[in-house]
Amino acid sequence: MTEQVNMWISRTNLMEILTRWSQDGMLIAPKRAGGEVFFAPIDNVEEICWDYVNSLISPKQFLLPEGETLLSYERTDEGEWVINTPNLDVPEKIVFGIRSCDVAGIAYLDQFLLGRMFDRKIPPDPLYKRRRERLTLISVVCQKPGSTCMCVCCDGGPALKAGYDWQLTELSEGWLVEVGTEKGWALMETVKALVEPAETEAVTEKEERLAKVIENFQHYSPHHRVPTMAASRGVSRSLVKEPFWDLIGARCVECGGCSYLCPTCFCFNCVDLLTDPDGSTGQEEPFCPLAPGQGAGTCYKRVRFRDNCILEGFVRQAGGIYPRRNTGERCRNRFFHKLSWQFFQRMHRLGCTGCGRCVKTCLGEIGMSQVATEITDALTSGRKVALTGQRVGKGEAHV
Amino acid sequence: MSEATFGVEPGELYRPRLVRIVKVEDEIPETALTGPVRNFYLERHGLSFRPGQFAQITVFGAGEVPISLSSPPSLGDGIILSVRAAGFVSKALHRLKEGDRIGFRGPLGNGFPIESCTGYDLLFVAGGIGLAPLRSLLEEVLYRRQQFGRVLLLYGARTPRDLMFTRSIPIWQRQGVEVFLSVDIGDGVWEKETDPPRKVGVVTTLFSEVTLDPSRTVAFLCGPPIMIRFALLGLTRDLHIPPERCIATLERHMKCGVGKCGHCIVADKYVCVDGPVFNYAQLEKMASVEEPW
Repeated sequence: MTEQVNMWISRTNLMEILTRWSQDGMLIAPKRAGGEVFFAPIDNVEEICWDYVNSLISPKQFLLPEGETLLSYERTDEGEWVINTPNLDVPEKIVFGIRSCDVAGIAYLDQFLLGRMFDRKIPPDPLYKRRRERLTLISVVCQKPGSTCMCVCCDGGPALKAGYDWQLTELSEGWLVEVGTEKGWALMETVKALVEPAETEAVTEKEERLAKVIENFQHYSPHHRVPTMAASRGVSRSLVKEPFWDLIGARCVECGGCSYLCPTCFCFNCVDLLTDPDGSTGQEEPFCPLAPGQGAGTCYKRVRFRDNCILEGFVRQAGGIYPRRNTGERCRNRFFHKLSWQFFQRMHRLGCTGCGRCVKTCLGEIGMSQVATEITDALTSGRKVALTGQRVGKGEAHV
Repeated sequence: MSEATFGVEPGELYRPRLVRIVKVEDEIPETALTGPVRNFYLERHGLSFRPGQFAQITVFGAGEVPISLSSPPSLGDGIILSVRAAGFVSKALHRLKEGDRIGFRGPLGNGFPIESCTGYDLLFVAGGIGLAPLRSLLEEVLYRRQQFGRVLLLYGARTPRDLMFTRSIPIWQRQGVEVFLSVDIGDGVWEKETDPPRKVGVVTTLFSEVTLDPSRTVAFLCGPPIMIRFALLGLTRDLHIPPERCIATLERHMKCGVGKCGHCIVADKYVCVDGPVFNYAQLEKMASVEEPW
């Protein structure tokens, strides 16, 4: 059943479906905690937060969990090492209420981590793939964009054409459901008593509402698409020179918040941790060098953590070779990865989906949209800092 | 290329295989500036690879690092890693002895395009420990000597003591490799000898010593970033070798080696999967965004 039919659910039936999923322990939905909204497992549908712009942390946390074990190895009585790979059996989960920008972010992660962006055939990341197969995305179209939202500028929303399993739009009466995948249709089968095919009016209402949402974007209207693309062009053709990035870098405090929250950032670091062999105490020590008297039963875990290209140690090599030594160079690398045409060609979209989290979290006001605007301003005003690469004095610090 | 060339099952991308160290051999002693270099001979288990590829080596208890394979694929039953004790994991590797086991994940990366170089003269330019990945290619070429024209090696190091594979150099010469050496700082004795021909200075000063036909030469480079940068300039500008036939291999910090962790990114390329071998035309394109050297 793959024909493009839209479905419709009444409010009460949607609650009924959510209740069923939460009772099965599959439901992840937005939940308010400490003034912020997070995606969390839901036991009781009353806990679901309905009035939110987006979660603080992108739902990529369910695909790339912090501190995931890649493998473990243990020393036997004979002094040999035995390697164990983790059990990849993860439970089926349904994320309800994910926003379009994060759906687009997950599509971006798929493109990279499943190895599709390379010319050669690259095996997918097995842990990511497993979790991705077991995660169903039920997106809810935003009707009240936030002040930092800019999805309209970079194909990240407010509604998408693909990438979701279900896409829900709240209408005056009930919800319109668009089904995007085979998996989405299979899920639809399990609740078919509670849904019905949508009337054409419902689709028309969705389109009207969407048009209104796009009008309501506060700072980044669709007109800002042009500056975003101009920034992309400037970065791709290296029109933006080092002095510009030095000034951007000077405002970066290397907190790493931008990429921690970013729905498209995937870089990770691996560390071998000494662990308790039976894992009972859970005590772990990093960087324990191979001590000579290490006895049988010594057990290590190789764990991956999120890493961040803005941080100083990201590209440091043994032996003193040390590319991207200053923050400006690291910022250039980050914005090139997100905005450039070179990566657009490989990933089939910009590396930014417009969720605005980096804008919200950045202390130095160098979020994606802010830098894109600055690049465009610098390029269009023909300031020499951007175009000629000549260094400027401190007096001209603000480009 | 198939998934099999990764030497891993697709479902177990991060699982290294256990490999025994057969022999450990000192190559360069420790100096005031740099750690010692040792050659680690590993069991091969019938693994096939291309010159210029690398592997992720696990030292149990320490971690995993990318290390290039420095022996030729045609060398029957072993794989050699030439490793300088420079960082946390490589220092731990130096503590291992014959009979110890390490984790081996690979071969990874694209490797040198050796098949498309048949019939050409080959010019190798190496700096310091950069000779290690090039040795894999150089010795592979010697196994198939008749398929190639002249073979030249320009090799530079900081001091005479830092020259790698000094035992192999006379053997290569006997097999028809024209070798030229340089050191940044001589020791008063080394400069007086004349075989192989030598100079005190950086490796690019050797370019004036060689005569070659740029229309039928392919150059291979490996060394520290600054050397790669100036050697590529010299090769194209002074020796007139076209950029597409100047081929260098890059070094970057990596965590996964299989295009997932994002550490090795240079401009729009992932060194682990798109490289580590690039030609100068590609490198120049990358350099317009971020200098790969």
